Amino acid sequence: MINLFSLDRIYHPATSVLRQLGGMALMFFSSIFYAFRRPWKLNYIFKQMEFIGVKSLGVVLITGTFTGMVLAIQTYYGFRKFGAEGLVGATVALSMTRELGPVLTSLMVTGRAGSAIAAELGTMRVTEQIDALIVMALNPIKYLVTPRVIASFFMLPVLTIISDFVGIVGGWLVGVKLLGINEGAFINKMIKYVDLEDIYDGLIKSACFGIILSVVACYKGFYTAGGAEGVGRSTTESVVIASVSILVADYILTSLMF
Amino acid sequence: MKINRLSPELKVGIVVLIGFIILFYMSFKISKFGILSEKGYELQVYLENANGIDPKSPVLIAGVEIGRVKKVKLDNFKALVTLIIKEGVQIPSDSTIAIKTQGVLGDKYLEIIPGNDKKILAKGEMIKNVKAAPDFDEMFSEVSTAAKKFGNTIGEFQGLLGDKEKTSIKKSIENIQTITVEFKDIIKENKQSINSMITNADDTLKGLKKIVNDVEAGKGSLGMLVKDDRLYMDAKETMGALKSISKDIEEGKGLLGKLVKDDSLYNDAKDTVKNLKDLTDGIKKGDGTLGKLAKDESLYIETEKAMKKLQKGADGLSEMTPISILGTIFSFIF
Repeated sequence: MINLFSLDRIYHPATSVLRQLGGMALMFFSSIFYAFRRPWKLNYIFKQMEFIGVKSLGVVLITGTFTGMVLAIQTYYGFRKFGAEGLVGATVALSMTRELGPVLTSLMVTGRAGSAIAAELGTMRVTEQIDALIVMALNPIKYLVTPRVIASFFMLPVLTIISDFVGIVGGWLVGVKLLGINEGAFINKMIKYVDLEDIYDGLIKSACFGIILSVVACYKGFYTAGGAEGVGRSTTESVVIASVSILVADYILTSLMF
Repeated sequence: MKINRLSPELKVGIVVLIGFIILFYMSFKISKFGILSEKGYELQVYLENANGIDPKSPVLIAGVEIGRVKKVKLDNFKALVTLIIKEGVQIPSDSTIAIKTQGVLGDKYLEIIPGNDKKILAKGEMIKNVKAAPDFDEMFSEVSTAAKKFGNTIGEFQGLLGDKEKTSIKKSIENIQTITVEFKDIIKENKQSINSMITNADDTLKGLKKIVNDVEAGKGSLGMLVKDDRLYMDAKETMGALKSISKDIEEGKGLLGKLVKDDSLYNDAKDTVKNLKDLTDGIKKGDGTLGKLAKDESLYIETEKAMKKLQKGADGLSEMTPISILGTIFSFIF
């Protein structure tokens, strides 16, 4: 029988992956646990919401709009071959609400806010600020991780719905105004084929992605070791792991939902 | 207060508000009938095959959406479909319902064809008349058998026409062609004379008209003939002479008399007619190629059958068009 204690002490890629997975899950549950414990520091949460949500707005707007626009062009040249240009609107709207809105928004937020979280917490760790918090009897999880997880959980759906909307508007601009698709068909097919579930499921997905990216970034930053170099490494790792996990989780969630 | 001094709460609040406004706007746009859909009355219908009919499939009258499918469930091996019809839309109780296909994606919807009954369907009632939807698999097999039979018929027909018949038909057509060409040439050559002939005929007719007018008026000898009694007396005398001549013929005197009285000419004619009759009898009985062509009804019946089937198949095929378009789409995409 394998001795789990000795397994824990050897460094091996396999055990390392398992250890990290467990650590992330623990961090997620404890952050949720502390979220329901007094005192509630609402202003910390709002600060993080501003940082993760409001400040990512520009990036999300640009990616959303251009994604919608390029989708319209691509599907237009495809659909035109059999005279179904009217379906471009429905295709753009469905792709944006179900898939591209949530995933691209989460990836952009991961790149912008996730990396920042990892770097910030990593720097706090290597400069022993986290140790100082513990010494001051402040729970670092409650103080640092919980606000970020909650903020991501709430702000990602908001960013996603904005991204969906500007994406559809971008698609409309390119499709109707530039390529001259019949506007009535564009709008009506969109309304016909897009259901409320498509939008809501996309938002649920993006909330899950928000939790994934914030937990991964917090974990990687929180357990940084090795000085400035370590901070750089955990920043990179947090972005890579969060992006990959988001795409994997996207498949799982989508197959569960639709 | 400068814009960058806004508290984080306010900034977050503004963004969240924008998000909510967009969410509500999009939800409202998409829900169409959505929340209002519950304000309607339910109707039910049994379908033999509800393939492609899902909850939310539209229900149309004359292409206008008047309701949606609420649910589809199995009941006694038939599909029991519950519809929600908009309040204010009244459907006669003898209306017919049919499954139809729409758009390139082959979406199915229900079409209600209103009846003439004064009675209106009330909540929870059943639409009894269902127009059967074509089953594509069945149709395909029918089309293929029809095509096979048609092919067989053509084969039989080809067998019936041997090489000999073919050459003779060919020859006949060639002959007809030559005749036509010759006829055309004749007409061309004699165009002038034909024209003058017509002109002459025209003149003659005019003259005749004049003569008739004169006769009417009793002018000239013909007019006198018509108007004068003396001719009658002369005619009577002539008749008497003719009578005596015919009597001579009756007795077999002279050449004319022989012609009338001798049987041999008549017998010759009779034999000829008999031969002709034998020939046509042969044709009637179905001997020889010509007879077969004339008498064998199976060819005609087979052809008719095949045509009917083909027609059916073509109807089916035209209904299949959306699906084949969808096929094209898929093959294009993948």
